[in-house]
Amino acid sequence: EEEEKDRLSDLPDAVLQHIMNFMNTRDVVRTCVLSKRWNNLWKHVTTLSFSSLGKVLFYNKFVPKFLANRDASTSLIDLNIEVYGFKAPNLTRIAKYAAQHNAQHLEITTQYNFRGMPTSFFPLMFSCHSLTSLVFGTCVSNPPIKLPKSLFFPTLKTLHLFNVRFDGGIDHHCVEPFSACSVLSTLTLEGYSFCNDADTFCITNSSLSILKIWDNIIFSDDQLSSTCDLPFLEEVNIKILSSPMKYSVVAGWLQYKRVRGERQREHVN
Amino acid sequence: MKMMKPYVWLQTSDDSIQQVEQEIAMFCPLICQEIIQKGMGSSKNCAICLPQQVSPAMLSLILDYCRFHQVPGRSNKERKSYDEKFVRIDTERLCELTSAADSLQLKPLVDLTSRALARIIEGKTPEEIRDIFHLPDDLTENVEVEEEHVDDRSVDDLLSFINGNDGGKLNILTILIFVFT
Repeated sequence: EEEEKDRLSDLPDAVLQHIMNFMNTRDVVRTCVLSKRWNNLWKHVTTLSFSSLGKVLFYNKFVPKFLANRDASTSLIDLNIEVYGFKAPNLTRIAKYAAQHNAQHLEITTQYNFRGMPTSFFPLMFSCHSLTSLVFGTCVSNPPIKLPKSLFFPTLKTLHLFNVRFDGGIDHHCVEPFSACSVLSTLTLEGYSFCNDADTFCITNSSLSILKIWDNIIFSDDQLSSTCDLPFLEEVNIKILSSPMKYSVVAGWLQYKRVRGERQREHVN
Repeated sequence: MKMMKPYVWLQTSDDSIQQVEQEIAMFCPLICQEIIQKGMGSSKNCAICLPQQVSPAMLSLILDYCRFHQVPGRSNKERKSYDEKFVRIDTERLCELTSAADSLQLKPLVDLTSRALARIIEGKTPEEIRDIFHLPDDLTENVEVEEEHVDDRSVDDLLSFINGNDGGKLNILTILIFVFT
């Protein structure tokens, strides 16, 4: 008899919703048929997790319906999306929803067959003034995703980009994407390709303290601008497995700072 | 600064009172508040009354968890592997543990057990979930009543994305909930 107890129902709504935050959103919605109590619990989930691998048709219909039915007064905290063949209007819809519902952490990974972000995507993200962390990129088998040449994330503290590129535009200026991220403290560039051959790249940021540059970086040595300005840089972590030459180039590029007496740690793995 | 007393008296839901290392018990924010703000727990007579969710068995589990994580110098890998083993318990106790940890505001443990419960629920059909947790099904009887109001076109539209995930009855329920909310 003891074994038949329904202990799950002893948990308060807030804990049940917390459990849902660790589930993918499709399964979260399915809990609405468990019992009357579970009918509306899913609407208050604060973590959305969409992975459309093998379910592209499903997700393209599910996402707008889910967003329309979720409780609009509940803020969003985490949004994790793995994009496989999402329709552009859906990505725009998600970005808009995230901005309107005070999303704080965003993780967007795009996969094969990805045709680029809709043009409205980044402006919407820039308008999301609750955003504190962003992970964004595409898998290595894809061409790098082109990003706007300047990122206006006024509240972002952590930024992790992988397999992306910046474009200096027709006049091939120095690309300086991070100077407008005024509270950024940790920047990770992974599997990264620096802009066009004719552009130079520099990292200028008045708040950055940790910089991580990881493998698969594609650039030519003369693209690294010597005007990097990172007054608060404390820690540099460079991991370039494929090419020791590139390591020394990047290390040399950041040498600029060490001359000015900043505390730095560099690692070669 | 006031000297830390090494032991603290705790009273569990069965009214039994036990002595616990204060350093360990202080891991639980609720106990910490009782000690610091109310000066409770210093003797058997003013034992800290724990929430009713905390049975002696759950308290002992929670203290094991705190005792392990309180030791400095453990690697993340060690902690992770301890955590994984720690939640390998039957679902009923896992629920009880979640409830007890939540009542003591012990967030890392609530996260750990919630994640474990999420893993149990994820990917299962509603029937399977009800079976595992002994959840009574109080929805089925309402299906026919609500069904009358459904706009057929919306159902067709929605069917295409829910289709193939659950049994037919549950599909309709899911759709109903989408349509009427």
